[in-house]
Amino acid sequence: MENLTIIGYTIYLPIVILMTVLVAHSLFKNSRVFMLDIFNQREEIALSTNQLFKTGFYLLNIGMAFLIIEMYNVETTQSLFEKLSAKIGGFSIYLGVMLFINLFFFFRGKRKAAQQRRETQELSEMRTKVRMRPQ
Amino acid sequence: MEKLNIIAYLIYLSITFYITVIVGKNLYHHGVHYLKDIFDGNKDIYIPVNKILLTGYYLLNLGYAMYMLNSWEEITTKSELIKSIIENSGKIILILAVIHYNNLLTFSLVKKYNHKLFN
Repeated sequence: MENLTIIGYTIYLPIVILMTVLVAHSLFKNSRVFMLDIFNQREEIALSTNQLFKTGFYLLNIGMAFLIIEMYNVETTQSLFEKLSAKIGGFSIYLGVMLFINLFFFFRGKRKAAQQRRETQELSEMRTKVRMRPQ
Repeated sequence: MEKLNIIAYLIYLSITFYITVIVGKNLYHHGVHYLKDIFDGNKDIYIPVNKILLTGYYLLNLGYAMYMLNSWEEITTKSELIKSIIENSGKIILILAVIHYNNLLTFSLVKKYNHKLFN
């Protein structure tokens, strides 16, 4: 049915966009701490990088949501419900996977930054030791 | 039935142009700090690079968005109209995402090998 398909699209679009916005908001509000840690508390670059990642996240997820919009053979209200929930559920799973991938990158960056900090500290300690050695 | 195709093109072009310009401005604005860090605050490099990136980005995306009009299917019903507009905009947005991540990756690699590239 023509009308039911249009109704399906008009329900699907606001839901996926709202979902993406909510997830992005909660993810990137809390990722500021990670970014500040990764960039050694330099606020300007940390917040810019956060913003860049946020833009990428929006693009990727909204693009995917738009790409999978097509619905076939929506004949009855029941099939509309079934198709719609399959679409939204599938997109929700995709969004969850993306969220965890992002989170993984944040943790990885944090670990790398901590490692680098430790190495520089060890290096400077070694230098001071060499300098302190009695001649 | 030709009319629906033209409506679709108009809506599609306005959506993609709007998104491209908004995202481009956002990236230009926030990317400058990122580039500044990567090129060690060297003004002679990072400001031109930022501008060139923006230009290239516009050319690539607007060009591709217009080029895609070539291969659209015939649109006869309203549901097809919505579907094809949203689907094609989705393709453009995904391409934007890929280019964006590619840029981020490239610049982080540049930062990693900065000393070999510019010294």
